[in-house]
Amino acid sequence: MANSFKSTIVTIAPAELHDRAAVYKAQGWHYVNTSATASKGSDTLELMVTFAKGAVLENLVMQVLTGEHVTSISDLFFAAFVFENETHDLFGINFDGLAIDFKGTFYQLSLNQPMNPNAYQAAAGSAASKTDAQTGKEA
Amino acid sequence: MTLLKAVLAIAFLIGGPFLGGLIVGIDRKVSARMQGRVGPPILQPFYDVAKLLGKERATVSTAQDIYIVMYLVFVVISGCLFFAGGNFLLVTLLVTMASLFLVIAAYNTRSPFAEAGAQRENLQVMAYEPMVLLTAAGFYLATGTFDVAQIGLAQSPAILKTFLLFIGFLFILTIKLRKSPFDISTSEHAHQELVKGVTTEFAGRTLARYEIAHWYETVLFLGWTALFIIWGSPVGVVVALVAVVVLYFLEIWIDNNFARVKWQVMLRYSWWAAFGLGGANILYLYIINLL
Amino acid sequence: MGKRTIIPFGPQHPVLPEPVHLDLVMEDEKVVQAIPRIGYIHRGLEHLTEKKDFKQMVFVAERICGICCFGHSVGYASAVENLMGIEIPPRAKYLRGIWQELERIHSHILWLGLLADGFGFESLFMHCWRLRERVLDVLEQTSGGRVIVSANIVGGVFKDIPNEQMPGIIEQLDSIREDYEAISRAFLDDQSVNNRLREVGVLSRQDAVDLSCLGPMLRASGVAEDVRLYEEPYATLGFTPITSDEGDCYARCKVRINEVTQSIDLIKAMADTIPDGELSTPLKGNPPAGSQGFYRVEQPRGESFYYVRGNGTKFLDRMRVRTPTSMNLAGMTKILQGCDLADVPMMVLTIDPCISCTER
Repeated sequence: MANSFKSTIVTIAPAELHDRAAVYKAQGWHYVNTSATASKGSDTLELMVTFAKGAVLENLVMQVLTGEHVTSISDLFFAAFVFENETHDLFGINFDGLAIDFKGTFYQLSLNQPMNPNAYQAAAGSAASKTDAQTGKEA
Repeated sequence: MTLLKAVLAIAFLIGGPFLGGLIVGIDRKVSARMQGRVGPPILQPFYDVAKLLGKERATVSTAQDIYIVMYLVFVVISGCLFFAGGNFLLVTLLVTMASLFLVIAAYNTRSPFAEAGAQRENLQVMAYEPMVLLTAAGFYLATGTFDVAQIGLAQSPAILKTFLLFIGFLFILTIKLRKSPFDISTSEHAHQELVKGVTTEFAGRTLARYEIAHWYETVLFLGWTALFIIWGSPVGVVVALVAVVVLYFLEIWIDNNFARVKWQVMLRYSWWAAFGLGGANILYLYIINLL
Repeated sequence: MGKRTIIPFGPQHPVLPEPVHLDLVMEDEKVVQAIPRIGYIHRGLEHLTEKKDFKQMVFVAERICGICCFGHSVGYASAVENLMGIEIPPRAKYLRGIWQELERIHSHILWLGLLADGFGFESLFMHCWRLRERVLDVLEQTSGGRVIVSANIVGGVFKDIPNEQMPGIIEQLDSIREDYEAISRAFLDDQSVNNRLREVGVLSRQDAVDLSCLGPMLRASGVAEDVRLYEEPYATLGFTPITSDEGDCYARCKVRINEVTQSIDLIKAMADTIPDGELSTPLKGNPPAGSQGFYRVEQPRGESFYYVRGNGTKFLDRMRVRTPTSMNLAGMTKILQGCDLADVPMMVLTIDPCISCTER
């Protein structure tokens, strides 16, 4: 007794994202998810955007660097603004043309890009000054 | 006669909050039982006010405290005047003035919830005021006087000639007692979009004064209800009291069986009650007075 | 052009079930604009994959939310099973289905109570929640937990509902159903309730699809999308999503009310046809490097999407949970524009917000 789910993974370049999303929208797919994955020991982040139709899931996967700019798909799929803001706050990927742009204050985090280990390394040197600033604020 | 009037006025002044608090406590207990809960003790309103009176003064804009004192003072004056048998029209206008002090106090707090609540309280006043004025006019046309003492001691109850007015009055009584479906400006349970509406920013002694004023108002409005039914004999007094108890239970039942309505609906229905039922009754009284 | 004020709605507000913040730009009693903000209970649960191994993460996933907990554990466990290529025994699938439907019932009844409270009908709220207690009793009898069932592991379930217990459960559900029908008539037929729900927050079919709405919010606008169409054991038992056409708050209320009775029927069908057998498949090893697993679950609030990625160790590279409320926030923002202040609680409640899920 197996589920009838099918999922496929398609690797693309970040610049193709918006055009491909437009094709999915035209064909009546619904938007499911935008999220990023970081791996230890790798400089790049893997950005994944998922669409679904019926029982089929198609995942567009692309490799991006921290801070790279990707065109937002929130003009096609308004609900994407939530996930793109979240990915920006947690991983540091920039989305251009967000329908509602919280400019980094979507989650009020005390650490920058906490789920991106590369960002962590870069901030390690200034971690001391960062905690001072924080305790200074809380005092 | 004047001694009796003075005694009644003083009885209201001193005993009003106790009676009002007891009525509110019984209300909460009965409502809880209707909802299948145990409910608070009947004396809970008194415990609440005692706690509030003992709190530290921490008001941000102190002008609201003065306005709430004025609200309480005018409710008490209006009630004492009513139970001493004074002019009914003056009583209703004094109560309206008291509720306007409440509205100004709410505007004064500069809180968005209280402001929205004050705006809704204005609409509530606009909803019930026509009916209240028509009630006063109806009493005059039915009994020939605005004097509460004379209406109360008349040979027959006023309701015989003012039945439609009475029905309309019951409709807006729900608004004045702040019960569902018309608890729009401030509701008892703080589970609405305006948090507590008009009373959001009142705390401590100010809120205690507001509660006590609400108790006085409850007794006063139930007195108005009794005025329709009472007549000048001991039997009349007993019948009026029993009727008031039954009608209050009806209010509790309505409270527990209706969702809150929006202000447009409240305004529309109240004005239908006022001008429809009230207007018809006034017309009827006018005609029989002519004949 | 009235004066504009800004009412800060939330995150702590008596009418909101969850901490979402809305800045309502008001003109008198009309909402001109509403921007939602979340982030008050972001706990960084997805980041815990660094510290908890993939078998412990089932219990972390379960605690993402207090109401939709079982669905999250099913989704996560199934995603990992998909990643490792494990097939769970049929009895485990049926048991998961039964608990999922019980969760849907108690979640919807909870929501009905909150909706009643939102429009000022406290006694109906109390009656709904008293009825819900009986559903929680059933959950407690079958698993030991009223809300957090904790029965899933990667590979199946580890708690069982013995076949002898099933008739007792069905009997309780039948008696719950009778009282439930009485309460749902109060929602559907009462005049004052209709006044507050009809034609409030209308979302046309095209808008619902464009805004990527999910769950009852989508189905109440006439789109018959439900992940259970493709999931076992529902597909074997024959399943039709419940839809409605009006797209207003009343339609969403009606869809959720009918889903409860549908869930009771599904539980009966599953209890009748549950196969005997093992409860779980034994696991071997860790998630292989570079492997990925996907799964979708129909939570009470809509479709939830789960993605896991392994790297050869017992710690996963990534766990991603995409919950339905995060998508429905867009729909909520749209229907809030131009509404009355008195309708704001209805609009917020109508998406059945579960902000703990949204923020993880």
